[in-house]
Amino acid sequence: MVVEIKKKIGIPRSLLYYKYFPLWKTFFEELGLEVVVSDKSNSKIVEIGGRYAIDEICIPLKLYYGHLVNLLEKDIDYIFVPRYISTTFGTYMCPKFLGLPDLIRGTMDNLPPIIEMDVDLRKKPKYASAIQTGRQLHRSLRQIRKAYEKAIKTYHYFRNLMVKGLTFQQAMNIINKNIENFEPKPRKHNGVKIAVIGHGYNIHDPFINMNLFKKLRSMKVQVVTLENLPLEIFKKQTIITNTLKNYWGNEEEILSAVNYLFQDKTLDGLIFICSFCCGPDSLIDELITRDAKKLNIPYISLVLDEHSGQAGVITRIEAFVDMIIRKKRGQKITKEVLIQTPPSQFQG
Amino acid sequence: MMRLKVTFPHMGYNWVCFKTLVEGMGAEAFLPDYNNVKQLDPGLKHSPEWICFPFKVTLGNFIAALEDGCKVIAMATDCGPCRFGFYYAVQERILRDLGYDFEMKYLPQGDLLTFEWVDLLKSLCPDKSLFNNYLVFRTARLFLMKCQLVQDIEKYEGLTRCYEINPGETTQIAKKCVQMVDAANRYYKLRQLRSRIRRMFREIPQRKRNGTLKVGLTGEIHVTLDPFTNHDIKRKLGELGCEVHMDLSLYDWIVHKFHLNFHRKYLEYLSKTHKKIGGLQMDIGGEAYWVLGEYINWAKRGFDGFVHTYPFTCMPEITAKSIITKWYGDRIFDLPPAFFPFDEHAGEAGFVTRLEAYVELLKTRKEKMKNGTRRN
Amino acid sequence: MVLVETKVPSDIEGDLYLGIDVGSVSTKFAIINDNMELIYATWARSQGSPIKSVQKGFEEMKNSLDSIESQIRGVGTTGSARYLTKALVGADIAKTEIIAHAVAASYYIPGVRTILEIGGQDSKVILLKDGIITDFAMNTICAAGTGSFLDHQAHRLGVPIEKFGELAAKSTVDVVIAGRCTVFAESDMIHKQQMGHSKEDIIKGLCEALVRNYLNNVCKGKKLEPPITFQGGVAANSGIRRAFEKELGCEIIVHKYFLTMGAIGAAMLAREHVLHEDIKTNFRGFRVSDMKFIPKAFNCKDCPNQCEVTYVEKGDGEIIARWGDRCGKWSL
Repeated sequence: MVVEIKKKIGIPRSLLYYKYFPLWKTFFEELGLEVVVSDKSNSKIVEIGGRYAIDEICIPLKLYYGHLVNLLEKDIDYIFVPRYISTTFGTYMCPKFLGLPDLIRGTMDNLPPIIEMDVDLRKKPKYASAIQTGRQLHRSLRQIRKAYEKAIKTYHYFRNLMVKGLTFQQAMNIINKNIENFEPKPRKHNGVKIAVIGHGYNIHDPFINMNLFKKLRSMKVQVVTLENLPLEIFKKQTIITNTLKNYWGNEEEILSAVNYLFQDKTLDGLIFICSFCCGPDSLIDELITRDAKKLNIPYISLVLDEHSGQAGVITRIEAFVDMIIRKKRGQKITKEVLIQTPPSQFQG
Repeated sequence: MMRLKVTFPHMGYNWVCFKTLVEGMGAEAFLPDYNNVKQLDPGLKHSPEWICFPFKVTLGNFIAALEDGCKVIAMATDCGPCRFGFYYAVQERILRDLGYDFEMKYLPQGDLLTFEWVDLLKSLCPDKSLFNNYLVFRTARLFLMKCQLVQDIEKYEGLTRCYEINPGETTQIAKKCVQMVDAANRYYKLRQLRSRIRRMFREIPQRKRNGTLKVGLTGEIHVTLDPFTNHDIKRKLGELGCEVHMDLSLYDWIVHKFHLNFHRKYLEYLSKTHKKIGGLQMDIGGEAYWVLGEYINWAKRGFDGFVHTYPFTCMPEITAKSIITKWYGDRIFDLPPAFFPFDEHAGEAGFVTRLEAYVELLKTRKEKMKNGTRRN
Repeated sequence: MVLVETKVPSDIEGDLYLGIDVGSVSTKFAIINDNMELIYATWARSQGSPIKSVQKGFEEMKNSLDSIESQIRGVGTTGSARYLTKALVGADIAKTEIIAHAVAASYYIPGVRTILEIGGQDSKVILLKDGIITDFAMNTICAAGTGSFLDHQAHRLGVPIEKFGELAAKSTVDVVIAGRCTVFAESDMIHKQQMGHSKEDIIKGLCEALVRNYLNNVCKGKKLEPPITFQGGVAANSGIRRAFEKELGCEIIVHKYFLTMGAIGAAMLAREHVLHEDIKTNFRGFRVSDMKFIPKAFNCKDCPNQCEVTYVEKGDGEIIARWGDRCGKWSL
């Protein structure tokens, strides 16, 4: 019998990786491929990405290029560049996702065969996308079906883990270790609840958000990301005005999460992270700002790009959290009142 | 019965068409002054920082109109995937927060065959009887005819300017033609205008010029058609001795939305068939799909230059730009492209320098090819 | 314009608190007493390294205030080099300049609702209500709307920055300098210069451009309610103040402590912190000026990030602070 050497498929650690990776990984592994992921984002990857991408493009896409180049060094047989057109009925992804495989094909040389996956829930079911992908690898329908079912199962398990409060990295570790029925322990905090909302690729990449989460945790606040919120809230399509329904897939999630969080009385502040030159976010940001102002919820939006210095971001976050804490404790300095808050309030 | 006072955003000469649309339905068209720096200022102040430029320009238009007491705004919209679909909703929100009292009427133009626009038009009409069905038909017909005429004007203007003997004459004639189109409100008159416009442009004194360059101009529709936004790139190209070819127009877009634009279908086909080298496979918003098609088309027709204008940070156009840059870099197509992103920061001086340099480049390139170094 | 305030230090009793604001252009020191009164204030230009400028300030204080050193019960730092300074002098807290400015301003200008703060490298707007910060914003990516923008243009025009206010007042014609970004504004300014506009008009145009940039950029979507105060180094420039008054249509208060407001705020925060937590200060004393601090750096080669890790060594080889890494392995 001939021992078949597993072919390698490369997946860049960027963009939708932070959302669907467990799904893709299980799917390809079940189809008998070895999944290779690019290295974690680092300054070299950013630099290379910047070299390949034109300068006007948003930073996540520049990173995508960087990760692609990083993967090409890893001697892979295929490369996986999905085309997510819409992930829920009636939505679109950002135009850059729509043209992603074309963009990559049009701008990079010496690529291994690209495995495409068109996910378009406006027109066809998810299973059809799985078949399309599996067919490019010459697998039988039965194999594809089996892999698809397992992948979906893993993905749901992964999402549920995150709903229970795990971060992306923690949940990934559990998936990688094949631990089933994991129950996380609650984390200690000082009672200040801050939600960090934004695209997965900005929130879960510690390089690009400059270790924001570590900073927040060191200030002992409770951090909530949109993946930690209950799944039901993402089912309904958000309505922007009475005449316009939102049509962007990623923003859909963000808006649902924000709407949900705004109802939450325990929320103390909202941090919105978006990347420089991100088209949809520029509009969403405006809408959230206006809503937050109306509801009087502290809100800050951080615009990330590869040039932005760590100092500015950290200063803003620190000031923001300080502002919330001071507000919560009612600390003020005026001529009449000179710090007279009773110490009991400080236990938080 | 109250006549509605309706305003709409500016886009080059196309106010003529929109005006017919409003006035044909018996409402009163309210036009703010043509885009200018003063009008843009409040637009900049109140729009999100990183939004594309047309948003800011149109918001400036609306604020100017509302300041003058207009109560109804008409705005087109799309159903994704680019930011355009959000324009009217966010603008409405911003204007309401500023304390204006108005009504936002939006025209879904994602697919005109859904005929949602009929309802919009009817809602403008003070007369609610069945007669307004006839009005819709008449208005739509006039509108299309005017769109076509404006397209003609734009086209002839681009083609003749580089040959004119008296500088500035083409611009004057074009302005005069637009006035004529604006004044004519009967179908037969518009039909007569068509040949008249052609004749008027032909009668401009022209001279033969050696070495005129054939340059294609395309890009995002608002930026490409609005001379304020694009620093009048078409005129400047003409004055630099380029024959400007432009397929893009409001008419082109409307017909496309009725699924009858075979020129665009051909461009789509061109883009699709170049899949191996990165031709787009689907409409990703903006004009990216057709910009790629145009590039291939004009490269095959032996044009000398390709100018791509778009709002800075426009998502779809940047995708197209990336691909075209690579194509030219690899000499898959031998048509030098120039990209002009526009926003409020774009300084006039730098822009002109770049444009002149580009035209210079095209000229030397053409000379060289003439002198026998043509590659075969 | 009061930049330095020195009362006779000998007859001061009670606890004192020191605040240090280390900005990109200058370093400010302030000492307050338990009644929040300013006892002493000074400033020094940041000469490249914050260590040097802090030491220079301490040197001065050691000479004039040596007797009250023992009375200092708390030290707070703020500004962009707050962590370095904290480690250097042994401060009790390091807070952002936003909080510091807000705290100080709300004390000195009761009922203040808006603080405009323009410094050398960044500009901020802080909104308050009843002495509590409700919102703030900071300049995002470009440096338009900061002091360095003016400095740069002043250099280009060949006019000392101190004369800006005076010259702007002489202007007779409105010149609009476009562009929200430094680079664009600069090219537009050169363009205007070449068109033959007078220097005064251009300077006034620049002041107005900076204010417009600031309002469009930093204050976007914020409602600036009076009383408004203007702080930071740029507040010394009366041309900018007038431009603000013209744009906002109300009086702009420039408090006499506008420059040292951040340092005063840091001192106040130190006081608050020390009183609440009831701790003893870690302050090393004014002798910090004589200590030897050597800033050093190395490239961590453990991962492709290749972070430049910088650290400060005390004369005896003890590392008092270390940062610059992304992973947190070296941070101290």
